[in-house]
Parts: sequence; structure tokens; C-alpha cells
Amino acid sequence: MAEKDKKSVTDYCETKECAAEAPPKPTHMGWKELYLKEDWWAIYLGIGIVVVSLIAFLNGSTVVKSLAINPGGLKWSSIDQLFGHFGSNLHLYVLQFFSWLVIFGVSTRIMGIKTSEFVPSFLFLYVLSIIMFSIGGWVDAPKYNLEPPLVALLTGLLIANVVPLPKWLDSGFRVEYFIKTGIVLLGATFPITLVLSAGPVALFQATVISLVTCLTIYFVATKIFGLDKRLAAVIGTGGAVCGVSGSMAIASAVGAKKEHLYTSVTLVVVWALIMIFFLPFASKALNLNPGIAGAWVGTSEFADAAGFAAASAYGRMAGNENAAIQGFTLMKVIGRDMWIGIWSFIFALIACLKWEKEECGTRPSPMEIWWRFPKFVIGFFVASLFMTAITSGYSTPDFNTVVKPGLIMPIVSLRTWAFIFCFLSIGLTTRFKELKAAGMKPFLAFTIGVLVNVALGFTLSVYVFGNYWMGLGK
Amino acid sequence: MKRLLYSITMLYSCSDCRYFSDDPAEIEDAFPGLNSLSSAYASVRSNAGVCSRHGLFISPRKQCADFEHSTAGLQSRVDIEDSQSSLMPRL
Repeated sequence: MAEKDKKSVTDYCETKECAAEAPPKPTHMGWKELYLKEDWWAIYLGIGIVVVSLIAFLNGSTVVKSLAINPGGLKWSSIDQLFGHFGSNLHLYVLQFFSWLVIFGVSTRIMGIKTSEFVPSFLFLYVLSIIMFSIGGWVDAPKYNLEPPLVALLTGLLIANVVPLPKWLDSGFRVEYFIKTGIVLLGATFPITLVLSAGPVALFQATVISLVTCLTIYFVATKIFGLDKRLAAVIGTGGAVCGVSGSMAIASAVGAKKEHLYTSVTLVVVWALIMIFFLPFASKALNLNPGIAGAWVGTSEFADAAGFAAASAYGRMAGNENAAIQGFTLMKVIGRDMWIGIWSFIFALIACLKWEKEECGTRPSPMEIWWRFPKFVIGFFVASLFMTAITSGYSTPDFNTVVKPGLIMPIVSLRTWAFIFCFLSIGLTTRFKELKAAGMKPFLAFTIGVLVNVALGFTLSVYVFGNYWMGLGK
Repeated sequence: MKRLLYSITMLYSCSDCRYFSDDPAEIEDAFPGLNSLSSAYASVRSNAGVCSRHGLFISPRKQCADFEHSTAGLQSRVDIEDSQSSLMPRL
């Protein structure tokens, strides 16, 4: 070794005293998470919107109601009628655009996303969203199955894969941020009593499905196809727990190769897109109750964003969007998403104690469960508790005539905006030619898991727990 | 001495390493399609990142023999042990 290098070594640390000066072992990102992670921002925005809506409602102000405008409920039958709506409400749409731009723009800037990229991207997204709402508001839209979630997704996919959009536009297409904000807003219209009564069933069904699907993919991948254990774990949790997010969490927990995550991203994205269309139309063909279909989608879709698109689309087809969304939320958000941290910790332990005994480094901490916990779920519960407490003081007639139109519906409309931003963003960020090849063996292992998941999910949702899911949305 | 040096080096982990990056924008660029249904800004990623030395997606709390400090030009564990073994008698 060169003399210079030896010096740097001795400069670094030669004595025990010096050891004490060495930097401490890094832990989690600590408090920084509160402003660097979109989960927390989704909570701040969602709860903030709920509180502002409540204050406006209690003071008799219609400002939030006006700002929550969208053309989705117009039922327009002529273009003149549609343009007339925009002509008379242009000021509200401009104000609404700037409100969204400020709250999303400032928060993404703090997270490190360039404002110069976010602003034009979000403007593009907002204009497209207006078009999607307008299509959904056409009086004949249901006749042609022009459900806004599916239309938004297809439009996004078409644009992303046909028009060469610059990559930097992705800065404004924040799929996860929009869906998490929407989920927190959804909490405000989700009675906590429903969470308490159906939550245990959802947790049980989610536990069964997560275990069976993950173990199926893992054992098929390792025992039948002889694939790497880390790859099997990454695609197993991708298929069983929470899609790409689950894969990402497990990949880092077990120290997977980048190629493993590439594979899982491709498999999840392709299968999730197939399921967004397959599950609603299969449910329609089977004439499923929307609550049951929502639970099935929650059991068998891979990601929250994709699942909300599928559940919302079928709910609208069946005429009870609320039931489908409730079933999906209970199963996916409350049931399956909770598992991410636990799976991460378990696989990190297995990787450390079994797979890499010699070079494990720091032993996994049980704190992994909290660090990787999808924090936006907390916002969902807080919003649900808060609004249930507020609205419980009203009689049913008062709730239906005063609270619902003055407080609940504006929040539902703002939630729908967040969802449409999300559904469009899924399509706009999915460029098929950029996805890496997954390989035949991982594809087959994952596909077998998907088939088991879909069949088991259907059986549990329809035959085993059908009575629970059927009661939703009433 | 060797054990002491080992334990000192092991005070560092991937988060201090020059080969490690947990920048969310870089991660989303590195994994095409990741932002379609997920996000590098999500809590579930925690502060995991990419190790360009070994081509891994790992937790920043991992440690390995190829560690090189991101700022101070500190040496890897192996280099330290090699250099010390030539300077001092083995314990």
C-alpha cells in the first residue's frame, strides 16, 4: 500500500479514543421523514382539507364547496351545455387549479422535486383531468362503459406510449402522492364503526391471501424454477402484499440485486394493468355485488392506485361506487398494506440469519416494521375518527340534508380529483418500451401466484365472507 | 488490534459509503416503471438505496468490506486490515 494511503488509515483511527469520535451507526432518517416522505404530506394535505372544509361548513361558508367543482356530475347532452358550464364557472376552475398547484407544488418542492418541472407537468395533468371528468359527465357515458378511471388510464397509456413526452414531465405525475392524499380524504367519508366491524374480517382475509400467495410464488420460484431466493422473496411480496412498494421494501430488506427489482417492477406493472380491466369486467359478467367485488379487487390487485381504479370503475358500472370503494379499502389499505413492515422484518431476519451469515452487517431491527409502515394509513384512521366524531352529533335527516351536501360531498369531490390525477398519472408514467425484460421463469412463477390469488380471493370474497362485504355502501 | 479496527470500521454503514445513493429522483430514474404504481418518496422505501459497487438495492444500515467513505476518503475495512497487518504484529 502506498505511503499516502497508510497515512490516511492511521489518520482515520489508530486508537480506542479515536473510535469514540467515529460517527454513530446510522439509524432511520428520523424526523426528516416528516417532511421528506409523501405519506406524511398526504396526511397533512388530507387532514388540512378536512379541517378547512369543516371550518367553512360550520361558518356557513360555501368556499370549499365552490372549489370542489367538477363537471363529472353534469349529465350533459350537448357540447354547448358543457361549454356553458365552463364559461360560467371559469373563475372557480382557475382558483381550484391554483389551489391544487400551491399545495402539491410546495410540498413536492420540499421533498426535492423541481418546481420548474412540476408546474408545467401539473398544468398538463389538470387540463387532462378536466377532459376526463367531462367524458364521465356525458349523459351516455355509462352506456359505453366510459368510466373515468378506465378512460383516464387508457388515455394516459396512449399518450405515454405514442407521444414522445419528455421524461421530466414525470415530476408532476405523482401516482402515489395523489392516491395517498385521496385515501386520507376517503377516510373522512368512511365511518370508523365500519372499520371496527369489518376490519377484523378484512385483516383475516388479507392474512390468508398474503401468506398463501407469497409462499406460492416463493416456493414455485425457488423449488420448481430454481430461482434466487432474494428474487423469489421480492416478486412474492410484490404479488402478495403491495405490488412495487412491497417489492421495494423487501428488496432492500434482503439486499436484492437491482435486476431483481427490475423484474418485479415489470411483472407487477404488467399484471396490475391487466387486472385493472379484468377484475371490473369479470365482476360485471358475474353480476357481483359491488361490496363483494371491491373486496375481491382488494384481495387480488397489487397496488393501491391500480386497485382504486378497478374498484371505482366497477362501482360506477354497478351503480354503487361507495360500496366497491369501501370493500377495496378495507381489504387492501387496512388488510394488506399493514403487512409491508412485518414482511420486511421477517425477510430481513431470514436473509441475515440464514442467507448471509458471514456478511450480515447490522442485525435487522424490529423498528423496520415502523420505518416501512405506510404512514398515510394513519391519516386515513385519523380522518375517519375525526369526521365520525363530528357527524355523530347530527340526526339522520340533518345529516342527509345539511351535512352531506355541505361537508361530505365537497370532500368526496376533492377526493375524486385526487383519484383522477392518480389514474391519469399511472398511464402517463407507464412506458412499455422502458420496462426491463422479466424473464420467463420469474414470469411463470409470478403468474402462478396471480392465478392462485385471484381464485382464492374470489372464493373468500364471494363464498366465505360474502355476507360481510354485501352489507357495504348502505 | 485487527478486531478493534474491524469494529471501528463497522461503525460505518452503507449510508456513509461513496457507492451508496438514496436520492429518490435517482432511484426513480434507475428503475423504469417504479413510479407507475409506487414511489421512491414513499415511507415503505424508508431510506433504502442503490449500491453501485455491487449492483444491489439495500438498506443503508448494511455494512460490507468494500466500504469507502463518501467524503473523507476513508479506506475500506480490507485496506485498513491489510495496512495494519503490515505495520503491526498480529494479535
